[in-house]
Amino acid sequence: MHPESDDIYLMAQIARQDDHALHTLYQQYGTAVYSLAYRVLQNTTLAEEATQDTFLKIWQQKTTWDPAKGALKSWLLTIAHHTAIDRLRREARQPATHPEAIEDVEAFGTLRPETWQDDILLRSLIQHIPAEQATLIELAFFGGLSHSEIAERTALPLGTIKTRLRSGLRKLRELWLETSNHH
Amino acid sequence: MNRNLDRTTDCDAIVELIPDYAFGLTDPAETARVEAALSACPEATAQLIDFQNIQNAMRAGVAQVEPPPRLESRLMAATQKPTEPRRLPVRWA
Repeated sequence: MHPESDDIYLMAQIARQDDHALHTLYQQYGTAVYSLAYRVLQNTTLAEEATQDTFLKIWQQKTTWDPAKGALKSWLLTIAHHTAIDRLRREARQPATHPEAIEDVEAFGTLRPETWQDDILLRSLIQHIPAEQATLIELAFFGGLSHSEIAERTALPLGTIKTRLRSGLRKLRELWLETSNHH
Repeated sequence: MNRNLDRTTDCDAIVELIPDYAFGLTDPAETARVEAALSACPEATAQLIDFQNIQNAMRAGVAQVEPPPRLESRLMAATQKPTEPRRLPVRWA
């Protein structure tokens, strides 16, 4: 059977509240979802909760996958990303919920370009982007921060943040297209 | 006034906003502007798809970390909980 047909069948079974199907989905994508949640939250307890919330949203049919709009894994990781960012924002507002998380969440705000080394795609692309732009992309994407939040966090003028970030994203796209054309 | 020229100029402005829009960095007015113009601007749509593909790769490309085994059993236990509390009918004696 075509892999996408498998995914469509799996999701149809989950919609019928077949918990074996949810278990299969977790076995296939649990590590990818947890890894992304951990990347955003930098804390095991919070990453576990965000992972569980992600799969429960699917189980409870709060959102449904449209195969015409993309692969199941991409959809699942988009939900996981939004869930983790929401959780990160809540923790930032109420840092007492998980005392051991405070240090991790705050540490994320410091500029740590070395964390890019963890990412397969970015490891190859990031070498060609100025470090200050790469850091801003990380803060926006994995930190879920707005322009003004990044400006506050980095103590740089808002206009500088906007210009550097946009320039970094354009450069990232150029590199992405070059890489894609080579494959 | 040349209507095609207007459309080109407007699409150029939309393309300019696409990186910010794709990464959720536009303000509500900019977001509305992009969404209203997207279907009429093929270049903006193409760039948005590129950025969405990049984001998919960024999400999937993070360092893989095995979740603790307890997470699987906790998730499956959570699926057994009713989503809405059951309300028993009140019966008067």
